[in-house]
Amino acid sequence: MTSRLPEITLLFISLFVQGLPFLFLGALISGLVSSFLPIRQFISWMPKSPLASALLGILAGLVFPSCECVGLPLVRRLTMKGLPLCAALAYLFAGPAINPIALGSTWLAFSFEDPAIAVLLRFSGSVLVALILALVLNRLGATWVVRPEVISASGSNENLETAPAEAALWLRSRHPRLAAAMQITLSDFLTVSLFYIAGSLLAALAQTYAGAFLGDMGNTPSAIPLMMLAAILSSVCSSADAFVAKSYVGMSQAATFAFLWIGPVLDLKLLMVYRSFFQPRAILLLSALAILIVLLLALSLNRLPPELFSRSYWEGWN
Amino acid sequence: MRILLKAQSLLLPLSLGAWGCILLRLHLSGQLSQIQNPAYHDITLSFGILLMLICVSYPFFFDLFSENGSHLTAQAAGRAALLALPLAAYLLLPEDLQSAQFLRQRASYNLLSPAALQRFLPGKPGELHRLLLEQVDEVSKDEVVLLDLLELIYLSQDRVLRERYNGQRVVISGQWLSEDETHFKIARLLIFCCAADGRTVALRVNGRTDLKSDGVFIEVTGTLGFKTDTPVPELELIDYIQNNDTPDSGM
Repeated sequence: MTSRLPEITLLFISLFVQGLPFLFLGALISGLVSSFLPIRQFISWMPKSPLASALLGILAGLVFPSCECVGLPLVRRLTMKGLPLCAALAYLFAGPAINPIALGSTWLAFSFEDPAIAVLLRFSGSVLVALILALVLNRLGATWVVRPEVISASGSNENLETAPAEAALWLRSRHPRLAAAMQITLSDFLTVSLFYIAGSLLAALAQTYAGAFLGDMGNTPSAIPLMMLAAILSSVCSSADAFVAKSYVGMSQAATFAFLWIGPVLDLKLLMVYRSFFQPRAILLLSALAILIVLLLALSLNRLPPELFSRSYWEGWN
Repeated sequence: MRILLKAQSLLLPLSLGAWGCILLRLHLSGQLSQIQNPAYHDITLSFGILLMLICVSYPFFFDLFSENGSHLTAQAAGRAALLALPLAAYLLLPEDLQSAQFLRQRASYNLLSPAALQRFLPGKPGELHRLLLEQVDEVSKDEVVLLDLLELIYLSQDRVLRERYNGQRVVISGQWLSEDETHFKIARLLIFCCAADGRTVALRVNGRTDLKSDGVFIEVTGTLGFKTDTPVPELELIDYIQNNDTPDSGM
């Protein structure tokens, strides 16, 4: 353990330094949105059907450039404000994988091959995973899925009981909305940071001790589950995971995409961060479901002829 | 009436202050370039300053005192320990951040595409191609051309540049990694976001050195070669010198 301490501290600090500003950005947006925008009015306009609201959540994920770290504080706060669970979950699971930055980096990483097909595969697979997860968890109900303190605050005017300190009297009397925004921002940042720190430590330990296997596994028959495991253990940000996936030697298309589909939904760091929003049983269920769906998707992709994924094949049809 | 300090209220400003110090210190010491892609350095610096500002101004916006005060509970102590973890990790950070063991574990044998390399190389698309052509056209094969390891990967994937640089004498810097009696590697760590997604790119060099410890920075002079129709470059060693100053690894 002592001999690997330099690597563990390096990986932990790098994950911490990289994620912290984005966690704060998510908390800041959630503070500003919940204090200054008429969220309730917006929520009342949302479609009642779970499928339609999930699709709306996915659309939001496609438009807003947010990684996993930005998404969770925002989703947590908006759920407290009464956002339909299905929309919140669809945004949470799809956003990190299909936002413009993630798709752009996928295009760049696959520019040697067929970037358009790679982007399409990443987008469609991630949407499918997010949609199924959101619909299944929504069906189980918010009380089963979400932590009690999030549920109890849902629909109430504000949740300030977790605020780190009372805003100063002068601030509350002169600028009550600003005071609320500041309290929510700092409170959410603190809550999610605690889980993020624990998650980063786990990811650093896993990367250090599973490093040799993560670095060079080759295209073995079990490459799909191994690549999924690599994504879960390495906890790479979704804005850069396409480059990391491409750096594995001789991987099949299916194994590479299994890495890209599972990572933004499930990794060690996220498992801890999810604890600030989900009930433990829901985390267990969503983890098992995500693994199953991605495995089935990747195995299906593996059965298709490889030439289907080359641009020349499709150009031949024109 | 006694006005007492709310101990738990101190957790947040103290943590933010400590985290801000870590970010600023990493930036000022230059260590940040070894753990994060330079594209994010300004964000990290600004965020470090913001955290310090929040820490300093916190008592103006939030009440740290109350009539009853508060004691640190067991739960709050656990939170405090977790919040202090980054500070402890920072204090334990080694001087040599990118150790040889770390580089070897993250070795990638796939060449990065030119478009992916644009993330690390400055200039507009196409500009690098022109500069590399101009650079090699201005010198004879026996004169030395200074190349970055990433520039080498870039030019290796372009047929025209590959032909022009074949047989050219070049100087390339990187970290020395031992291989066997007659070969070694020079390596650099590519960081896309942070060190956790870092991947090592390496160039195999034919030749022998007297170096003993992996990871030292060296500057290698050699003759560049490409086997027919392969973009994987090889270097025939002519000479090498050990760099005492660690170059900026922020590629």
